[in-house]
Amino acid sequence: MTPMSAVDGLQENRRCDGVEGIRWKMGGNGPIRRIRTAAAAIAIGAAVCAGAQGDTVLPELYVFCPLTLRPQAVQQRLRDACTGIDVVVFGRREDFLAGVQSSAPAGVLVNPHLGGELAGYHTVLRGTRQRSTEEPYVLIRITSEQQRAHAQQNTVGMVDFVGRERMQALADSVLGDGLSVKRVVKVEDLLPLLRFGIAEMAFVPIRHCRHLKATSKLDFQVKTVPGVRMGIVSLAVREGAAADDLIVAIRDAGESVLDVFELDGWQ
Amino acid sequence: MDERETMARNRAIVVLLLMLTAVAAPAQLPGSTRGAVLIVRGAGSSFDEAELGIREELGGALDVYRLTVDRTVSYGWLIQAMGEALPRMVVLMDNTALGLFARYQEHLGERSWSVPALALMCIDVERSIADMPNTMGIAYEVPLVTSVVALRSLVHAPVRRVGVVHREMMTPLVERNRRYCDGEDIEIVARSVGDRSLSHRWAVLRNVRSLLRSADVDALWVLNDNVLLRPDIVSDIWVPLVHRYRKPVIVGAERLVDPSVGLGAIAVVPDHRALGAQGGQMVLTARDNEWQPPRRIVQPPLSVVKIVNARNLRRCAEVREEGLGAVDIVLE
Repeated sequence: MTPMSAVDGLQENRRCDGVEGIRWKMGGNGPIRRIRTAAAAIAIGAAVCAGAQGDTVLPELYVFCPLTLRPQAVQQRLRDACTGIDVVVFGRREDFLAGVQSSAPAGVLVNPHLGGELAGYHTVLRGTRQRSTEEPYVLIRITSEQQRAHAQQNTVGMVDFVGRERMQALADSVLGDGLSVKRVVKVEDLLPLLRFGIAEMAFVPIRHCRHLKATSKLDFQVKTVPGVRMGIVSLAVREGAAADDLIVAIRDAGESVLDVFELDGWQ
Repeated sequence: MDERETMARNRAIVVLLLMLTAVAAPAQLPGSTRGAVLIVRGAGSSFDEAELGIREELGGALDVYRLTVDRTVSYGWLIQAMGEALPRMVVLMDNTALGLFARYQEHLGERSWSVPALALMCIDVERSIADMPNTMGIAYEVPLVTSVVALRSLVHAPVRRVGVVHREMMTPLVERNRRYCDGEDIEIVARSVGDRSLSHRWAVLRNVRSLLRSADVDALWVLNDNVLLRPDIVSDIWVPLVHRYRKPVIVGAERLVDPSVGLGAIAVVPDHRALGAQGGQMVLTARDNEWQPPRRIVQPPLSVVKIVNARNLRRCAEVREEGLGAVDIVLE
């Protein structure tokens, strides 16, 4: 790329709101250009989803729930276990939301906090552990004074499932004001967050705490946060969609699905 | 859907989201009240992913402009771009962008210091930004401790002593990793090679063989160093030795774990989109601090992609099959 084109890139960015690589040869400023961009984006989305689901039209279940397994491994296990539905598992909230927006799947299997904000979906099943639809959360931090001394104070790490502002609001409501939230995509990312002192502590469900302790040889302090319990995972279905197929597929899969989410049943 | 299809789908999603992010962001004039960030970056899919991560993280809180550069771009173009975008902060993706901004700072002196910078995807960022005022960074090299913890979850045998052969110029990197390993019961056994060694082939042969034969190491860590990883040295020395002594090899580049090369058992590389998101959080923190960088100047990358060459790994260790579920890409 020549110097001239590099600066053109900046100018072009300004004309098309910061996206280089979209060359506006067909002209037009403003709405037409945006509609074309949106149409291209939707087309890509449709192609992506068509590629994912194959030729047979089955009720689609989209899944976004931070676990210690990779999304593709979870997807394979769920597809093997659930007959009569098509399962797509997402590793990032943004991808999940974009997928839901473009494809409107029949159902979603998500953290209840996220499920509650999806317009047009209502919860029909809640996962249970020890007969409860909620699980306890704890604060975990490294014991070593030496390592803690270098950590950014008053920061708490959390796996992101509802976005920056809502995660901060969630932390404020359950842990009190004054803590800055450092969000990560994967459960395993909490470990480097603590190890390198980017967060002073992490706020996690107790099962993830067990995973961190099993993965690392660092010494951790674990502190229960009294009264704080949050939903585990819930199935929400789209208004007007045939929910029965999804519910039957998940219930019939039995232990295979329950194991993936470390559940003991559905309510 | 196999892993290649999954990767193709993920790339398509990145393009889709990058476009949607741009459509959703209202056009803003430079110097708008909410402030602007200028991304100076190279071309390619890794940069696209990192930029997407930043944009998603900022979520419209700041305007984002981009200047794409390569080695032919003079810093005069950066001056022009800075004048047009009036950024409150600059994100520098790769060493070319970093070099341009260093020249910009030299050229303008203290006048340029009011705009903090964040360096991503740069080689040896800690050293590169050491003399640059008001500049912070995220390292591109994944810390060894992250890789060893990943390897441990995949094999039954203990992984405690890890051997590495490095050029002298990389001693600070090795020592930094030694500190990172505190508390994880990992010992780095290092062999240093002179930067101007007359024969790097001979030096690699002697030191790698010594590590594998008599240093009682549980695994080998291969640094991303083009000199010690010249193609002829890889094929003639590294690969035959690691195959002979059957120790898991940790590498930091995807190509080295490819079955066609046959060197690495596991590659642990940065997740570029997460790297961008991590950078976005640092930008927002700087904004909350009135555009002063935080106390910590260089952060390691938090999120990684794990790629396993299963055949290589099984050849040298008993694999925990359940651990493969936490691996992003398994190559057979």
